[in-house]
Amino acid sequence: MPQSPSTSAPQYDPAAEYRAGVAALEAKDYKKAKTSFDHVLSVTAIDANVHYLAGMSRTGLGDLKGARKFYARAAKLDSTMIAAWRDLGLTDAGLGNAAKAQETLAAIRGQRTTCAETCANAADLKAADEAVAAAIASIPVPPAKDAKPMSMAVPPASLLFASASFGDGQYLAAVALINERRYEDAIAALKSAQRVFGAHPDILTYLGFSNRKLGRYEAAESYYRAALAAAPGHRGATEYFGELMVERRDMKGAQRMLAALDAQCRFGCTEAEELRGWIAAGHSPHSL
Amino acid sequence: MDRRWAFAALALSTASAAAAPVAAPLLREIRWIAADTPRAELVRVLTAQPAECLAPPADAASADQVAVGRAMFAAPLLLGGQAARAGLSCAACHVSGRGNPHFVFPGVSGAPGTADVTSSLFSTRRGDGIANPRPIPDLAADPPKISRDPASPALRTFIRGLIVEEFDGLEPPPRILDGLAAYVRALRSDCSALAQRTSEGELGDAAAAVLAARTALGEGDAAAARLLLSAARSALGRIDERFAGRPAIARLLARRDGELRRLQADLAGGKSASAALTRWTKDTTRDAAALRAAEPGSLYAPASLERALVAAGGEAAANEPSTG
Repeated sequence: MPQSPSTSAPQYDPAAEYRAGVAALEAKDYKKAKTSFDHVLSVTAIDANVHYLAGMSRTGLGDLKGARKFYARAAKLDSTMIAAWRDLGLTDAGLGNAAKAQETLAAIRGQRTTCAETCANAADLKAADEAVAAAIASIPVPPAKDAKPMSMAVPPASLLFASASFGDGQYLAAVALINERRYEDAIAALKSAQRVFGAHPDILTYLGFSNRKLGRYEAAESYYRAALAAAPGHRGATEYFGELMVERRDMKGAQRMLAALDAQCRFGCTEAEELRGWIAAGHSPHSL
Repeated sequence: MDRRWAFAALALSTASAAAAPVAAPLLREIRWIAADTPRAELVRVLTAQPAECLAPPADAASADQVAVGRAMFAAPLLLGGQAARAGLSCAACHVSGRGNPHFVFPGVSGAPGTADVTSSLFSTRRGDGIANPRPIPDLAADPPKISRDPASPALRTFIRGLIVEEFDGLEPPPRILDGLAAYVRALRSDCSALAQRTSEGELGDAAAAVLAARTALGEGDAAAARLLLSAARSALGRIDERFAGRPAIARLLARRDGELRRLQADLAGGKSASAALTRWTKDTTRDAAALRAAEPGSLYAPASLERALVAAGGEAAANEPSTG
């Protein structure tokens, strides 16, 4: 039985910490950036982008072993995150680990094959392929016993972070895409917005909603929980988590979510009424 | 922690570049007023509105219908989807049944006073993929696109389409649709003065919605009665945000809201609520004096509102008079 999400209040505000981390990276203050992204990860650890940025902070500090762990985690959480694959390969090359870097290069080339130079990310994949291949070629053979890890340049932050208005645009587009039932496209837009705003509970809520509509209930639950960890009492996340519970026939859980909404919605709110309708009908009240 | 998230505002960066959480605006409707509205104009818009002109009802039944429509016109819960989550009601775009030249909503508006009614942002059914915001019509003055002939079902059908398809709302009970059509038919444009917004006026809106609910209940229409009680609760919420920082008023309004919430639950459970609704109306009539006494220091008072906007800092900064 799921625990009440509101029982875990965040120690940090993940969205604010994310913005602080981005600002620190832009200012090349890698120590501060590392601290901020670590704070974000202490609240929500499912965001590939935050893992990637935590890796970048460590690269900036010259901690390639530390960075590698975060790039690998980012690539695992989001296998389409080309920047994470690229920097994982570059970091392994920087550490002199040609075998690991080759594995990453193979993964990038696998994606290139699937893409067939026609997908939206074709240029990024090609660039990542070339960068990792060049880094592997520059590893001394055999590496000297006393060799130190090669330094790695951190990509200019201005190339990595889009503006807030871009993030807003992606978020608005995502909401419209959800209403058009184009959930995969919505997830892509939400992830773009997430790169600007971080673990914002609204974004996490819609990532949960989109995944739920695609039948990925476990992923949806993770996102709803992350949203509620970032913003306990978030009405949208509470409502949609309750709807997920109805879909899973966890009616007691759904009633708990409804009770939470009724307790906080002074003067009524549509989120409570929607969930009440779901519970009464056993499914969406819009599909009676 | 009095911090709300931008879920309903549909833009994540509207508060500040430093943090994504958006500070709650002083009044919810500020969210859909153009950010560059000069502060003096903002204060005027928030404290006064066009007088609402309604044709005198032909009989008691017509008066009842108009009362139902008037209450629901201002109720966000009539709509669904993102509009309801943002707190938008019909009256957000059509203030007192007129237009709203200051209305701006991210992704839906172009110039202030416009809205794209075929946007996927609000609708799962009517999105056309084209950003084509149009001026919000004045329902009282502009030539109607839809026949308002009471003998024609056209207006009722049109309103149903707006609620269910344009805004993803649930199917409204017939009484609610009839009431909305009657209200729109009754709108007139021959009052030109501004009317000051007051707690007494908004408490009167809540009481009128409860009276309409009682009438509906007397005719066995519990579904309509529940919706009308939601409209009454929304009206209480509009009063509450004007008295921020006044715990005694907040407690009073919370008590009245709690009573309505319990009555809604009773109705859903098939219990009778008519006597309780009569009692609620009497009790609430007595509350008006307490609200009136506290009103000069509330956000109904232009001077208090202006001071609060200035104190709110970032929010007011967007509404500073232009020095250009």
